[in-house]
Amino acid sequence: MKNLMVITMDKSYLLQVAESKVSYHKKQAKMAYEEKVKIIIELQKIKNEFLLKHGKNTTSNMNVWRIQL
Amino acid sequence: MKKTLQKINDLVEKKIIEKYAIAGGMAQFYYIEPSVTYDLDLIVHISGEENNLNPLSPIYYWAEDNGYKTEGEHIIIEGMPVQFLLAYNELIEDALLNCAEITIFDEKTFILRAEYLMAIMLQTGRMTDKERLARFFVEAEFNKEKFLELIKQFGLQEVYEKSYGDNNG
Repeated sequence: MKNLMVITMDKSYLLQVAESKVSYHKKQAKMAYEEKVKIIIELQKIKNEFLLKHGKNTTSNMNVWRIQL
Repeated sequence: MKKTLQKINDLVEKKIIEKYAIAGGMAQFYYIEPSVTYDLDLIVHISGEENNLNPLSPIYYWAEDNGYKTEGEHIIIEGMPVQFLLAYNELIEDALLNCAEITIFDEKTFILRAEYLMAIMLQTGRMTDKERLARFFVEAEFNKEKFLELIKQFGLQEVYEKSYGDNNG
């Protein structure tokens, strides 16, 4: 039986990663609303493309917004 | 979205709507990182005498007169599906009365405050609400005292303690 190498991660490193994620999401939350709307439209496109590729239909209330930004 | 907001503000100017505020996902994303949503929810007070059978009818007449299509419960205003909702309980009513005035896309508009949105999510309690409320605790800037005051006022303390305890903010 091969020797298995167990990789352990330093607890402080994991905490640092978690804090960094929180800090990233907080920063994203503070983004200008106008930028957030652009992101929402991109997410609508991605979700609809994904559903289409997986043979699932989007419903009539899932249209990508055609709005002037 | 600027044009959509302009048309909604026109509804107030024309006295079809007395007051409105952005609610739902589009309000939540003002305070937290955005994720996908497909409509703009508005909580509204209708002006004048209320038609109890169809209280939103003045908005639908306006939409028809202005060539805006309806799709299900939405009116497509300048490319954006907008859902108009009356304040359906005391919490929503209070949230509308205490909404914040903001400017986005160079247009004045109104939005439900973070603490009210959080209380509404707690009250509604769907999976999406639970997930977004958890994100509010981490990402949003909100007044915790005000939030606790609201959940006490609207009888949501028990569900809050049960679901979230002291593990936030």
